[in-house]
Amino acid sequence: MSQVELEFQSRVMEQYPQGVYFDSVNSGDSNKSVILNSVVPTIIFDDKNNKRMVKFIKLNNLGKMIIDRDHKFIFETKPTVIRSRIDEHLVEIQTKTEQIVLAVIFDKLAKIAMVRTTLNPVYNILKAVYEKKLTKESLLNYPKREKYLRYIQFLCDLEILREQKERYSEGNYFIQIEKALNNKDEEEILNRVFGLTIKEGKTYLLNNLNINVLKPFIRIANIYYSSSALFENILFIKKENLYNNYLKAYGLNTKFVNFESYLDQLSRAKILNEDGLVHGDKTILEKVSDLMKKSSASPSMC
Amino acid sequence: MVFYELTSPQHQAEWDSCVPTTIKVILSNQVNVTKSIATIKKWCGWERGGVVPYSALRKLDEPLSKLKITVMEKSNLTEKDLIQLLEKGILPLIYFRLNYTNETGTKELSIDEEGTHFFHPVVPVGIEEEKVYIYDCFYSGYGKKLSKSEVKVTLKLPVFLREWQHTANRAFWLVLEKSKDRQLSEFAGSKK
Repeated sequence: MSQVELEFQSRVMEQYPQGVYFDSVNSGDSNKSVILNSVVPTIIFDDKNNKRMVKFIKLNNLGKMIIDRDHKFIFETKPTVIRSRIDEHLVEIQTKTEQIVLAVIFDKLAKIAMVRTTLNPVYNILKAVYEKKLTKESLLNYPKREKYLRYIQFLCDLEILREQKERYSEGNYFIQIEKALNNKDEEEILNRVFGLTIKEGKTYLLNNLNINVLKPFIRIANIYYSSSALFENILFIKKENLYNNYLKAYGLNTKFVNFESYLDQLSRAKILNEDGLVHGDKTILEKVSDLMKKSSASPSMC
Repeated sequence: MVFYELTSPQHQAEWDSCVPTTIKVILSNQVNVTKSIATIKKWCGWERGGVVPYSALRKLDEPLSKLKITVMEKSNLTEKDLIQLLEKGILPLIYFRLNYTNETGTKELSIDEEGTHFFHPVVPVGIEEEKVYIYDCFYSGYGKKLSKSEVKVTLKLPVFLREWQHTANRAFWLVLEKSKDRQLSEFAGSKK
């Protein structure tokens, strides 16, 4: 390291959190500067082989430092600004990877009993439409009419349903699925449409209809599959390690017994497997890895 | 040959708590002060994502002064200085790039090359001829004591010195104020 590099290095370690660094010193007419980047460790457990791997999420262009010819620091991005930029990037990456994992597991997610029960009104609406029974007149007799009307509007907005003069019918996406699954039975078609509803309407369901039941399943699957995608292989992880990663990544205090219940349901839906160690599904991992590469999303903090 | 046998060496419970964990072990071993990780985190300005490496240790000065303990730091030290510190029962804290562990032949950990950008605290607890014994809280499975045979990381001296250069051979250590003058004159350590 040159003298000026050591000066920058020392200053970085006096001002900024661990992981903040610069690649090289840029020389101007009289000043020298560095661009600040950061790495954030991601610890991946391979409990089958009793090994821990550390990979890093890289965040570039977070700030700058400038030193003048007298070696005086004349500009430094504020440490609070650097910290908040790191946090913003990490949240952004986590949201992106969640969307990717959800895009792959949505149809399986729809089979989880807890999800199905909470979203039963949505399923009932889809079923009534499929059976051509959802007329506007029939809605007048629904016990929770207002609630059902909100769900119907939501499904129309997603183009899963279509409003007609006297009734509601299948929308573009519903029709496409019916066409694609031409010879399949009613339940399979409805499951697929139901899954698509969760996938496309996740944000709305969470924010407007307050369907929090989805969150833990998406998050646990995200924690597992984003780690495995980074490792480029199916990981075998102790339940306790996955639990700790889940709490830490999302800043939660979920009880272990509740986590075990979520894991059990993810296992029944064939999203994750659990037999002593938690491990994933090869097909899901391949799809997740592929989508992550295409979207350039770095895996989530795990 | 010098070796400091640590009692209750700890593994960091979270990925970003390496500095507080290392400080906790130094405090309990060297000056017999037992504090919780939560307290030490508060003392050294920890936030989610870790600490500011150098200023975290300087921030300890204020709370530790109430216990008559001073934080010392100095750059451009040599392995001989470290030997002298250890011989006096003082544990030096130094920062290494996290992927230095790849040089140790360890099978427990694998750290990718971006680890060169992440500085991590370690404590050299022993030096003999061409070998340096290190306590690193990133490793797990520590027992009640860290004897020479149980040390998880050893580095050849040239490798150790090469890694140390990245922080200009800087070290931090604690001294009890009653013995401060003697140690200050012998090491010319500076108190920031």
